[in-house]
Amino acid sequence: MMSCLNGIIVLSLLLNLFQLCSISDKNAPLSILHVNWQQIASFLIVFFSGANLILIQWVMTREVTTLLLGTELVILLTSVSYFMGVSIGYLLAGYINRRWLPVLGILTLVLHLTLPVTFRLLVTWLDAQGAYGAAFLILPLLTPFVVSMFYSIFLPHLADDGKAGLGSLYLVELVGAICGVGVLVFLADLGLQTVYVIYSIGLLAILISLGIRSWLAAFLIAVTGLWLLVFPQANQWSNTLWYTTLLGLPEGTRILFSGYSPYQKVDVLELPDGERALYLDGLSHFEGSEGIRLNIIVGEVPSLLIKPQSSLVIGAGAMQTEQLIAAHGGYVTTVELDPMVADVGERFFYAYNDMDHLTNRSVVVDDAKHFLANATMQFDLIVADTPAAFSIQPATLYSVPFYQSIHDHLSAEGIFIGNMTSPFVPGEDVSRRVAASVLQVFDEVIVITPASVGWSFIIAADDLPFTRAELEAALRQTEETQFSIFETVAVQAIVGDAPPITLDSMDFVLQTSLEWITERLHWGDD
Amino acid sequence: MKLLRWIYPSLVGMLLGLLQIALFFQLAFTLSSSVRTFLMITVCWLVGSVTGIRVARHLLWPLNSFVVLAILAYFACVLLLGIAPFDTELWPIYAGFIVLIGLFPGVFFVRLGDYYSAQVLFFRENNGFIIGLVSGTIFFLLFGRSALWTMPMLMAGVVILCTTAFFQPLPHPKGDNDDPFFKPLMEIKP
Repeated sequence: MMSCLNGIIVLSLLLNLFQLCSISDKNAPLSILHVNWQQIASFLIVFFSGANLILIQWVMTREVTTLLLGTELVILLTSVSYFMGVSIGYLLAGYINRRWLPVLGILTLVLHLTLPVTFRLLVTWLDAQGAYGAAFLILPLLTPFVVSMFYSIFLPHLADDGKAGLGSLYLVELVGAICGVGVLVFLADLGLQTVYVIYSIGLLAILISLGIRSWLAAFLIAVTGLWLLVFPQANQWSNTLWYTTLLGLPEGTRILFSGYSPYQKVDVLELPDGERALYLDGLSHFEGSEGIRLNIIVGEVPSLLIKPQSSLVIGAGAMQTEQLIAAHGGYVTTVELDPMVADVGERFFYAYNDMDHLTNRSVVVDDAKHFLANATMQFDLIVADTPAAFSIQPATLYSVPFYQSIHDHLSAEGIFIGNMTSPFVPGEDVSRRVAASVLQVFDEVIVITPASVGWSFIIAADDLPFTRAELEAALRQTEETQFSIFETVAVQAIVGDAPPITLDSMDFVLQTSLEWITERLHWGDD
Repeated sequence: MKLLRWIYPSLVGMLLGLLQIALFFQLAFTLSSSVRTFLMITVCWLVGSVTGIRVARHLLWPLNSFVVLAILAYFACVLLLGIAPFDTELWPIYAGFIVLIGLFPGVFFVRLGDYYSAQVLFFRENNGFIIGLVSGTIFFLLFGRSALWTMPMLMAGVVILCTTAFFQPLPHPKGDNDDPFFKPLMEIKP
C-alpha cells in the first residue's frame, strides 16, 4: 500500500516538473525557454506555499492540540482556526501591497520556526497568571494570523495580478501540497528538526522569489541555520518547562523523547525519582508507579484467574500489562495503532515491561478494528486498555460493533477486560453507556472498581469461567484491599436506560469534550 | 441571481467540506483508522484535483457531471465498505474513487475562475469548506452516520440546481450544439 502511495507522490513530482515546462492555461504547450523568470518565481512561490502549508499544519495541529489537552472539540477548533487563516489570506490577497509580502514572509519565518517554543511559553505564562482557560481563546485566535494566513495570500494575489493563469498556479500549489505530504511520509521519522530544515528551505525560496536583496537572503539563511542548530535544545527546554509548570511534574523532570507521530505528540519523561512517564498529546498515559495498579487490574488479575495461553492487548503504552500477563506463560500479542508509541514502549519502558527478556510476546502495528476484522486466531484473554473517549476515533473502541468483534475472537473459555476510564456509578453517563454496549454483546458482565485506581473496569464473557469469590481472592492476592464488584444484574440495574454506544450514537463525545474543556477553563480557580 | 453569484462558491465549498469529512469518517470506521487512510484521502483528493485542473478545458462535460461523478464515487465507497468492511486489499479501488471525487474541485476552480476573481472565488469556497467540515462533524456526532449519507447528498442536489441556474442566463459563446453526447457547455468559455 505504501508503495502505491510512494508511486503517486513520485508521479506527482514528475507532473510538477512537466507542469513547470508547460504552464499555459490555454492548452498551448510552451517550452521552458519561453517562460520568463518572473513567471518561474510565481510558480516557485505557490509550489513552496502548498508544501509549507502542509508542513506547518502538521506542526501546529500537534502543538496546539497538546497545549489545549486535545479532545474532539479541540481538534475541530484547531482545524477551523487553521482554515480561517487560509480564508484571511485569500481576503488579504486583493488588498495587500506586494512590497509588504517580504516583510510578512520574514515575520512568518521567525514565528513558524519558533512556533512550538513560543506557543508553549505563552500557555505557560497564561497558566502562571491563573488564566490557562484563556489559551482556548487566544490560541485559536492567533493561529489564523500566525500560522496559515501568509501562504494563502499568494495564489489569488498572483492569479489576479495576471502573473499566470489561475489553473496553472493552483495546479502547482496542489503539487506542492502533495510534495509536502511526501516529506512527512518519508522524512518525518527523522524528527522535527529535519522537517524544519525542509520547511525553511521552502520559505527562504519564497522570500528569494519575492526579490529580497541578496545580503538579506544570506543573513536570513545564516540566522535560520543557527536557529535550527540550537532548536533541539530550545524545544527540549520549553517542553520541560511546560510539563513542570503546567502539569505540575516535579522539578528535575527530564524529557527523554519527544516526537510527532502521524497521530499525536509523544513525550517520554523521566521523573527525579527515576520513574518514567508517557504522555500522548499532553495527556498522561502512564506515570510510573501510579500507572502500575491499573496494569495489575487489567493484566495480572485476569491472568491469575484463567491462566491464558493466548492473549491480546489493545493499546500499547508502557506495555507493562503485557509483561504481567506474559509472566504467567502463554503468548501475548499487542496491537497498537501508533508506531511511535509501540517504539517508545519498547525502548524506554523495558524496566516496566521486560521487553528485552520475554520472548513470548509480539507487537503488531495496526488499527485494532482492522486487526480483529482480519484475524483468524482466538484468544483466551483480550484486554482493552484504550484512551478515554474524548474524540471520535478512540470512542469507536467503546462501541457495540467493536465489542462484537472482540466477542467473536474469544475462545470458549475466553474473557474480555476493559478499562472504563471513569467510575461506574449511577450519575456517570460514559461508564454506564460503555457497560450498556458490553451488555449488548456478552451474557455475563462484572464491573470492578478498585480503590487504588479510582475508576472502573469491565469483565465480560458469555459464561465467565470464575466465581465472584475467586475474583475477590485474585484482587486480594494482587494487594487490592478496597474494591467494589457489581455482577450482571447489578450492572444492568445501574445501566438503566443508558443507550449503548454505536457508530450512530457518538453524541457523548461532544458532551465529554465539552466537560473536559469546561474543567480546563476553571484550572487555577482554586 | 446576485445572491446566487454571491453564495455559489460557498455552497460548493460546503459540499467539498462535507464530502471530505464524510469520507474520512466512513473510511476510518470501516476500512482502517490508520494514517494510511488519512494519507490516501489527502493525496488522492489532491491528485484528483490536479487531474481536474488538467482536464477542465479538455473534457467538455458540464460541471454538474463532475458533481454527479463525485457523489457517485462517494456512495460507491460507502457501498464497498458495506460489502467488504476492513478489506484493505481494496485500497487501490478506494483510491481511484477518491481521485474521481477530487476531479470536481479541480474543474470547478478552473472554470469558475472565468467568472470570479481568484481572491473572491477561493475566499468564498474556503468559507463554505469550513462550514461543511464543522457541520459534518457536529451533525455526525448528533445524528450518527445518517448525517454522512444525507448531508453530502442534499448538498450535491443544491449545488446541481445552483450550477444549472448559475450558467443558464449566460449566452453560449459557441451557439447551439446538436451533438447528442456533448450538450452545449455554457460554463466553458472558448
